[in-house]
Amino acid sequence: MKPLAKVSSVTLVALGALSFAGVASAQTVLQFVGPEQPSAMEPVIAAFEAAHPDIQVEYESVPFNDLNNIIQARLSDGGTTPDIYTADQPRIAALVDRGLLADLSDQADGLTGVMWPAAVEASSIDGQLYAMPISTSSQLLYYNIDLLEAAGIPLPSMDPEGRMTWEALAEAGAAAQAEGAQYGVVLDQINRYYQLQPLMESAGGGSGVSPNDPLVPDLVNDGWLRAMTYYHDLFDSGLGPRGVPVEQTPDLFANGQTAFFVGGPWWLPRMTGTDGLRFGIAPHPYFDGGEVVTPTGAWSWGVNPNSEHLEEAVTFVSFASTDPVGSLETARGFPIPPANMAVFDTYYSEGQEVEGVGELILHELTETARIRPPTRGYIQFEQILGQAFEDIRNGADPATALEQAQSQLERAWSRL
Amino acid sequence: MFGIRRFRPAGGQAVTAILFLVPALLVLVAFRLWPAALSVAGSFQHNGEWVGLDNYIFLFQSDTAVQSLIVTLIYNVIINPVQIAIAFALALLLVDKIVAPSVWRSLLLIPVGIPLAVSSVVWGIAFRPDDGAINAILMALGFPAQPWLTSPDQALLAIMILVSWVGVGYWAFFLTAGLKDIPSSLLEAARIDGATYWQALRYIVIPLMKRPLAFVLVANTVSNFLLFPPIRILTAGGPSGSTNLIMHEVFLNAFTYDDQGLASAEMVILIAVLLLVVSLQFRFLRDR
Amino acid sequence: MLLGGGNSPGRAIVVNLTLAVVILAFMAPIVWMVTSSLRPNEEIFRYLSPLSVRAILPEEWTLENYRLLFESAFRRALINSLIVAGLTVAIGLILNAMAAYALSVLRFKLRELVFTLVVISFLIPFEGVAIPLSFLARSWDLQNTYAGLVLPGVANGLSIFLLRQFFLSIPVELREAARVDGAGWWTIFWRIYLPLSRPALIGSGLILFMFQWQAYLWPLLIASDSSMDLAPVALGKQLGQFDFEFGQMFAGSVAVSLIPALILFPLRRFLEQTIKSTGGKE
Repeated sequence: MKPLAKVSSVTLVALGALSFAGVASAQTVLQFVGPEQPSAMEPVIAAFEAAHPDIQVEYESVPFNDLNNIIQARLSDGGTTPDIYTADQPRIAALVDRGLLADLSDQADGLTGVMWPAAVEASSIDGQLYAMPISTSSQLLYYNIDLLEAAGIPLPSMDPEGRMTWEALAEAGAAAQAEGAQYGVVLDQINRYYQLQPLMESAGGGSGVSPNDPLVPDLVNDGWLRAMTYYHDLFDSGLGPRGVPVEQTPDLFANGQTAFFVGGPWWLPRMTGTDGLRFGIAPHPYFDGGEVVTPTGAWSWGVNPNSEHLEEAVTFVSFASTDPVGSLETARGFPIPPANMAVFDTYYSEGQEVEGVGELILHELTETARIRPPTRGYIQFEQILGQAFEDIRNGADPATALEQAQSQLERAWSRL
Repeated sequence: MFGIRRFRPAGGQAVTAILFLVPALLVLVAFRLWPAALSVAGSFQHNGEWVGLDNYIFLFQSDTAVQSLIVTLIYNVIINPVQIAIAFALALLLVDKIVAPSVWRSLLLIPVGIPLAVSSVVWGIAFRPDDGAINAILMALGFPAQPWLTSPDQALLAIMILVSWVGVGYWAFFLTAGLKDIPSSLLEAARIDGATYWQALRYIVIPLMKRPLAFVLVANTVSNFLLFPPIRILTAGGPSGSTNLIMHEVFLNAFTYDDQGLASAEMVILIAVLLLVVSLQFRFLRDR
Repeated sequence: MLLGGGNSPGRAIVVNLTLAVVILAFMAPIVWMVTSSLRPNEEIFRYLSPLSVRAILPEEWTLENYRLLFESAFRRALINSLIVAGLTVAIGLILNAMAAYALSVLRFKLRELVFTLVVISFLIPFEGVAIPLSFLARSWDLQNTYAGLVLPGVANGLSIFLLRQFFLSIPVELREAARVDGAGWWTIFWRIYLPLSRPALIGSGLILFMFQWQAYLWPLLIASDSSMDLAPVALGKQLGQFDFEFGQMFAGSVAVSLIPALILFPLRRFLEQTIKSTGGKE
């Protein structure tokens, strides 16, 4: 670089820094915490800052497994930052109970007819809205075409009317395994309540929380036992893998070792991008003779009630959730489907490479989706059940494990 | 209590001592002792209200908490002697006539430099029952595959293997320094007198290693009692509570459930047990 | 150092072979981690079973994980970790050595009590007090500062304990002679005890360094500004909700784990120093 150029570039940088500092000082800066990579948040933040030049949003990405710890440690003594954070929908009741979410009910009018009702329901407590719905979710049945063809198994249909039963799935998985598949059936979030709730619900066992009292567990019933016996046998027979954590299950399907994978639509880009993997999509299974239930629920964005910039923070979450431009930009960065119905079609026509998946998810969200139970004891519920599921997966007797979980949960909830 | 030798009263050094101690003590009080005192007070509270001994009573009536205390004790009774024995053997190898000793010593320190969360992930993959490297090796050698982390009987063992892999090189480092302080003239004399390897070890090396061993024993015990990241990442305390170390319970209550009263009570119990164990160790290794 | 037996070449071969086997077993997980960091993400889990040389021999070698990682916030985080660990060692060694000196050389009432407090301080699980401490630290305005990251690590009971053990083994005659010559306590500390204690100071520095090198929870609580992240936190962020960048995580761990070993290597000659020359043990 020539000396002159050097000087001028230094000057430019200095001037840039000065002018930047000048603008920054006049701006409100919002602190925003979430588990997504910064790149996922860039589109919506850029669009918001363009629409609101006097507000700047600083996003802090935190490790997914530590998000809740961080929120609690930073906010529970009345901390003023972050101003905005991502709230896992089933945890909203507990967050509200501790006073960590601002009431956003005056934003609720804009939601009717725009959002999936389940997303609004999951963001509200006693009819009051506490967070703006951002994303939603569902689960699909992925199958490996080569492994199924090798075993002479007919490829499942994408039509919700031709939905497979869990029983038929296990049978087909075993047949594929006999012809060379390493695993017959793998579940995405293999030991989490999100993934397993539909099994219990479909078997008629309910959500696990008493419908009459959100702090009374209801785990010891025939439906839960039927679902958990199925789950137990899945691993006992070697159809599914033990000892593989949630983060490593998608690889089992991507590597072509697995016949059936029940997983989220967020894995579609990953699977279509894998060389040599031929796969198809079918609807989420149900139990023979039981109700069809699919998982749903994802993230809402909430506001810290002690924020020093409450108004601006509400403006931001509203923009990201309901504004036609804002919600599309939010969806663009996100791997999960948007909660905003208006954006949904654009989202699926733009980015999805598998024909018909958008329609299938649409069907599930409208007809079969069920949210997780809104109890302020959800954190204990999820943790204790997660351990019980893992025990059953590792071979513990389902009835005993459920009884233990029930009594552990009763004790844990007695603290609330 | 901790083996300070004969106490000889002497005036005039108190002021000097205070000046030497104040900087470190100030930081220790602010960042450890004071928050710990707050926690002790918190262990008698629930949701901001004083509840007396309720938290402790709750814990001792809880199967989970009692089991976690037992698991913690079993884990420590096994892992501490084993780790120290391996570390000591490694240290003896490292001070023997070997090629490039500093290279080996540095290599053995690599595991402790890896973030514990990442070593846990790596070992979790190695322990996978169907396709993990450890079972693949076992089977290649003609042994049956083992369930490792998925079995209530083996999960704690698997955790011990992981933790030992991380720690023994580190502890060996401290023991090597101590071994180098042993005058070679003593060993030479013993050799001329016809002492075997084991005799020299038993009668010369070990007695002279008391101080470094005391340090490593205490430090290792404390770090094992306070361990939890591999549990959190690999087993969440299972299967069937078999790896539920009490520190994992503390973490769960403090961070996941936001039940500070229960977390504090468990921490007080943990510190009390640890204090008892460590003071026994000090007594045992007291300089004579 | 040679215990018993002869000094035959056969013995040397046995010892070196044993060590080689042990080191090889120790290195196996690290070798897997290194090769996994050098292959594309989708290859990492492909060759776990059956056991083959492919498990540690990538089909396609790539530095992509390292390139992406060092272009990301990780580079800054690694520098932060070095700054924080470096400051902690520099300040901590002086503080802890001073305290250890008082607890082993000076005589005063309550010495036993103070030492008991030091011992208790290292029995307290840092994670257990992290939440109340984070409230205190925020009230002291330590959030997003190097001070907030460094201070909890500088005074370390274990490090004091290690140095005290070493100071106790320095012959009393040395300091008594110095006293007779009119040296003050500080001079004896600075001119006699510290220079004689290099191996213990290195060990003590290692304890302080590792505390910060492994720090994860505290930086998450106290540093919300990602430009203040430490390396383990930056690596933790590789396990997101839907994207698990194992390749970059392993690449980062390779870098992070080599640094302590590389720092210690040039210090090896100080580790050879002993106190034998000073007249044997107490």
